[in-house]
Amino acid sequence: MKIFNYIFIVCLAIGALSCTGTLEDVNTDPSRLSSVDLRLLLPEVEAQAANNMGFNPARVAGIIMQQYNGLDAQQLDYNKYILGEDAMNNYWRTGLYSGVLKSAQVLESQATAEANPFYSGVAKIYFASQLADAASMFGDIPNTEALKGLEFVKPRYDSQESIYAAALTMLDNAISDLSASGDVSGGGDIIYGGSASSWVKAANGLKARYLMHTVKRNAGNAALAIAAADASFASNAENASFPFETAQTGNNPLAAFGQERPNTLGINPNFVAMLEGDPRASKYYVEVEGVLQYFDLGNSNLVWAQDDSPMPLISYTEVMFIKAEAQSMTGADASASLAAAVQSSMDLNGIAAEDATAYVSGIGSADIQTIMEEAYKAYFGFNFLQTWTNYRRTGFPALTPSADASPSFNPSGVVPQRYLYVESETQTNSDNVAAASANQGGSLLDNTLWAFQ
Amino acid sequence: MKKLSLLLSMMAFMVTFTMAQRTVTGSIVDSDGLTLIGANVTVPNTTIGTITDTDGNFSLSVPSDAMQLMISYTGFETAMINLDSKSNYMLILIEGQVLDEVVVTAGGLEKNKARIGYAIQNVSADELVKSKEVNIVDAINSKVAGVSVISSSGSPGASSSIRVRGSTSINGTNSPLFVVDGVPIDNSEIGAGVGGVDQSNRAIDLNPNDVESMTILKGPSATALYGVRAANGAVIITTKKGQAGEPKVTVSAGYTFDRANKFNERQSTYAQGRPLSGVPTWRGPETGEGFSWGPAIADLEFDGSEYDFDSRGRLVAKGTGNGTSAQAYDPYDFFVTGKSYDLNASVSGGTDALSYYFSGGTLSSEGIVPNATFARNSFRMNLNSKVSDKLKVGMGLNFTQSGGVRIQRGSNVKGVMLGLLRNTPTFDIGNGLVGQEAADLTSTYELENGNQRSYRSGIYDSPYWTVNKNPSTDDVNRVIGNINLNYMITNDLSATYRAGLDNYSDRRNSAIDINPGRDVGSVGQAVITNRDINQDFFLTYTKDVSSNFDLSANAGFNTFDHRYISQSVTGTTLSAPNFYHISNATDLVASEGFGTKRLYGAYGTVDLAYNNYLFVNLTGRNDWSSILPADANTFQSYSASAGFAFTEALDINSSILDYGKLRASIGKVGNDGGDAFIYSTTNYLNQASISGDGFLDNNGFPNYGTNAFERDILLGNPTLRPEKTTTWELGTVLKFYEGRLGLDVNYFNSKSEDQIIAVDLSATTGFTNSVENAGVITNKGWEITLDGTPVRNSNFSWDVALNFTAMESTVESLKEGIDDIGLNGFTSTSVDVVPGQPFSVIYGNGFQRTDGGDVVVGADGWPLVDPTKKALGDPNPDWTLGFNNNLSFGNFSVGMLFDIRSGGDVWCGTCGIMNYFGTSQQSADERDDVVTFEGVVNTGTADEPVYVENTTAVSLADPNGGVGSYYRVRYGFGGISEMNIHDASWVRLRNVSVGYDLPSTMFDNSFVGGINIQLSARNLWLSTDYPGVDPETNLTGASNGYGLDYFNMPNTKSYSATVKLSF
Repeated sequence: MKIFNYIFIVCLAIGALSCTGTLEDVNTDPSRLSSVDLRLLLPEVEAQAANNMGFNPARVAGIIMQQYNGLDAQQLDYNKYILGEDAMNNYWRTGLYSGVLKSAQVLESQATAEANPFYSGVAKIYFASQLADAASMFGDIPNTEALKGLEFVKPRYDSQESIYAAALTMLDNAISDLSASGDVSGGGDIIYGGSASSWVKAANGLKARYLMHTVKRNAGNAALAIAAADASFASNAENASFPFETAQTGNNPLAAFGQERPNTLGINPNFVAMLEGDPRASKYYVEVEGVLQYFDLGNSNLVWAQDDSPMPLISYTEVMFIKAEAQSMTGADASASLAAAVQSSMDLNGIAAEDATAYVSGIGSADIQTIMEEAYKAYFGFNFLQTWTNYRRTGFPALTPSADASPSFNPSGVVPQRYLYVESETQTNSDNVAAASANQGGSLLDNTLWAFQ
Repeated sequence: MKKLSLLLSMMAFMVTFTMAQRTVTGSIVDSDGLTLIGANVTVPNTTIGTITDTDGNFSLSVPSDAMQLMISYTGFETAMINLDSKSNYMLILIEGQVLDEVVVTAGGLEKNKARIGYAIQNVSADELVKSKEVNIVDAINSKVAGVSVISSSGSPGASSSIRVRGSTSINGTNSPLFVVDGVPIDNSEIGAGVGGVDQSNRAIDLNPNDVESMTILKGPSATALYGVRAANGAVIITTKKGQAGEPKVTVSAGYTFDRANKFNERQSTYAQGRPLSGVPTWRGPETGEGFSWGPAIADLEFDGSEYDFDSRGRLVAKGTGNGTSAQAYDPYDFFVTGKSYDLNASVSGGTDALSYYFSGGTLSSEGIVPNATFARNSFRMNLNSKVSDKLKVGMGLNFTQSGGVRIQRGSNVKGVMLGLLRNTPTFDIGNGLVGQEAADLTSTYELENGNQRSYRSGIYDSPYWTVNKNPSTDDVNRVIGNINLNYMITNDLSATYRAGLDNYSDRRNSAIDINPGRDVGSVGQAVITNRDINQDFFLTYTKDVSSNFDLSANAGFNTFDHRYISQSVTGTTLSAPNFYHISNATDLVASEGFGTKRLYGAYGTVDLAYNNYLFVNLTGRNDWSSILPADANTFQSYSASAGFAFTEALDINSSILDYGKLRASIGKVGNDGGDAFIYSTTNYLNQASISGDGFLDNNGFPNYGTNAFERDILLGNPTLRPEKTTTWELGTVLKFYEGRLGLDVNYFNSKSEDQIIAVDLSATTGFTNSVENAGVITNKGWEITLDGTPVRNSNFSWDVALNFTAMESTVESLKEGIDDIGLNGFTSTSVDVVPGQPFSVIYGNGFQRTDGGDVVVGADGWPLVDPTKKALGDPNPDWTLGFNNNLSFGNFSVGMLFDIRSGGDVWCGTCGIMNYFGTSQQSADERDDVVTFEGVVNTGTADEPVYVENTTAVSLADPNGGVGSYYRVRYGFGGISEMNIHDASWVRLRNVSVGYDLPSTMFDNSFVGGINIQLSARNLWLSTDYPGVDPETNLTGASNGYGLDYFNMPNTKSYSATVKLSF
């Protein structure tokens, strides 16, 4: 180290600018932190999750479910079920695993270490719901070995069954954390402003959702779902709605897509046909120059394509549809729940009371098909993934597969049953991807996932 | 040795003969009475001169008032002949201190090239200036073996990448270190990407006219003395200095015209539209129709209706309109003739005590795209003072201002080429005008209602809209300065201190104007400041130990301090159109980023020479880098090289072989991974950002009324180790036929290990990348230069120089289990590194193939796509050859530089998209084709395939199937990667120039010393099978990923005229 002494002496002698501080100081980034409070971690978790629900997986689900329609570029490919390993890559990497799941886990472990049940509860809600939704898209996905850094460089894929089980357990834990927590003010909770009891209701609604995801495998889930739904929201006002904003950096992702990728995504004529006579039609789409558009810059009529259209993590509308479906399955009368569900949708869309009442009174019997078709219409704009899951579970509404279906990814040409594992996984975790594919009968869009068989 | 120096000295020398009042003849010999061939004989301060012939004789016409002749010869002391009434002189030149060709090597040490045991190559100042390249990096192109240069585009000020012996670094820079007068300078390119605008690499701030000499150091043996920053080689530039004597003034002025040199071929047969119910149907701009799969233009006519997009109305079937035939327009009319001028002036001179060189240069370019500009103004001052017999002081100061108006390009709906090449043949983007005239008229690109006038009604911006509404400017102000002190402690020992500063600010403004109904507009302002301070202190010891044994040694230390700060504000949702200031934005996001680094180095070198035929050079260096963990931040570099001049040692006096030398070197260079890994030894919490869509911009906090942080997805590494690269090389230098022919052959082999890489992790670990020591990359290849003088006599000479490079960069391994790391590009097609493959492959989707390599075709006759991506192309050429000719006769000189590149793929994403939209000529040619794809059909099962030959014919564009069934559409947007990979081999005439020295008699009794006129042309001729723009192109600028063409700006050919006056 003698050389440093010389250097130091010379530096002093010539008054050089360069020789202050140690090499270690030089390599410390002045623009970043090494630790922060919980209240500064939560906002990103909520925002990332809300954005994920309008990102590519949701838009593609909208196309698959023939509500959206690809007009150009990649969206047109999606019409043809050209959904390769690159389609969901960005979402998987920085939206999901190294996105919201990573952040929820960081939040959860810091909250547990600091014995703060509010944050650990909310973190668990996000972790569980984002994980279970991903399982609904991909099937088997990593969980037990995931998010552990270099401890597991190649995380094993857990079965879809175990993911749902883990998510439900985690939601129960979240409910118990939050039940033990008081409200937190100024805590970075964008959705509920720190209300623990609101989060308990949201957690119950999500429980109901994932119980129904797996109801084909476990018929007993229907009754449990009714109980969970009853512990959840009682009105739209309680929705776990993320408030997007008009500042361009905080726009609803579906509106942002309309702006940043103009005229590439529109509305499917089949959906328009289905909305015939529905008062929500004018809130969902508009015809511009002969093209059916879900987005039209400056058109404030389109409820779900505004810069600040909200994105509920879980909504009263969905809770009521879940309850209706579960009631119908258990032989109970679902008509009141269905009517409440549809009415809540009308309210969300700002439909005049008399139009809404007229529509609700004309729904007809609350059978599964009707419930699913009504959910299909009601979920438009904020809940595409659940629409797709509903379809894969029940087959409703009946869809005719795309005539141009590409055989490369989907030899049987059916409506896609899953998303393919993403290319970054096949490049970095190929053995486990191969094992998961083998476990699910292949790696094509027409493999039916465990929960939906 | 004498012969060698003769031969080397001839290489850059241009013979000129002038008519004059008197002819002086003479002969030049050395102290042994041997003739000196090729010695320079000049009249001082003029361009009049000659060289001695093979008998050592010269004959020169000199002005009657010439008082002296200057005789110079490398390796000998320059001497003067005082002219008197005699007409014949004989001079004995004395061997000088400076031997043979001098090259400047690591540490700014001047060395005798003959004594060096490793490969280096010079580029003469004349060659640099003659190339008329704005960017000094381009001026090196095709002139040095082992060095590859790729200019990213023909946009004014666009970056060029330079690689010495290929690439070794995945995340860090692969550019060699640029060193000016001993001070390293920054050559980074900030902001290169698949979209945005073409940026500059910062070596563009150097004025080639200031360069006295340039030497390329290729291997670690040459660069051990610069340590880590020269791990990719070094470009050592020495600027001009004044010489004692009368002031020498030179002034030059040049004017250049540029045209685009190559485009994609467009179709002009079919209209905008697509098949509807089985009938190709015209659909106009208001429908937002993107395709040009409409009816034949010949079958359409105008209807005369009131129509925003064409004054003649809409298009209808022939016979149903007003009889005015529809027509195809050529959107390439958008391009204009680029114009540049450059003015340079310098004055130099001095006394024995103080010499000076002052220069000023200005260059102003208008591009081939309307409104695109680049300008550079530079000033340089070099002062050197001999304060006493023992103390010398020097300083250099260079100020450069550069920048211009950059144009949106690449993957970007605002990109000029994207809007232009997707544009349908039946839409006139110029609205009756072309080029600058169209660009200057608002109605070209804006409708009366304020909406955009473009073929898809503003979905893709009209190129004319972009050049007016989406401006992007940069303004760089840069100071590069150095001081140096040299003190002779004893006759054998001297001490040198040198300090250099490279400081620049780069102020960037960019705007996306309001595009009604499409875009709310945004404005970005950024200020980037970069400051590098470099200091060296070293001792030099030289001693002639005995009559046949010399020793020189050098020891010193170095500090390097780097600070980069980028501050930016982005404002969105503009209030008023045509106002591109941050005050016009409704929402603002500010950010600031840092990069700070410090290096210490201690180094030493020993040179031994025995009897002028055996030379040994040893170097060693120890570095300390702030980038590495504090407890493991030191590493070593060392090298050994030897040269053995066997002709001299064995006293071979062949009539064919004059001189032969063998050389060998081995070296190891350590590296800290470079600036890409600043702040990578620990994990941080970043201000949070929302990402994960791929189609949408990422959005950072503060947002939603709050701030937020999240853990970085790059996993830092507190146990990082230095990288190491080991290289050995063997070479020989041979000179034949009295130096008329020279051959330099070099083989190098390098292995880079423990590469610091941001390794891709499975994102399910919670990190997308971790910084690790991983991977082995090897580079090996041949560098061959051949120079010769096929013809040389008193009034004509022809010199040729060939530079041949064949090399192979291979990624031997990455981290265990990591099959691929992306360098650049898109989700669909990218440039990646893959173990076992060349350094960088084009990666993407290909067709399914059997084990035997046959394409698998579906039962419907269409080839099937393999869902798993793979390496599909290799962007590296098999070999390259630069072939330079210099002819001189009388007062004329002619230079011709050919450039041949064999092999190397480029992904023509542009072609794929044009085929998709139906605007390419190919899409028109194959529109009616029925094809049976070569391949096999699986008639068995997936697990037990049975393949039979495909016999099902398919129609490539059957309107009954709808546009989605078309061959160019059915595989998705732009097709799959494999359909668009093309061989990019080329032969080009990179440069041709004709120079003429006006006869000196014209300037008798005037103050003018000489006038030289030069005409030159760049890229005059190009032959290639590549279907897109000039394949010397790169979407992502000077980045590590190359081989991508996605609506890249075209390259240019240029013609220039330059007049140079000396006084």
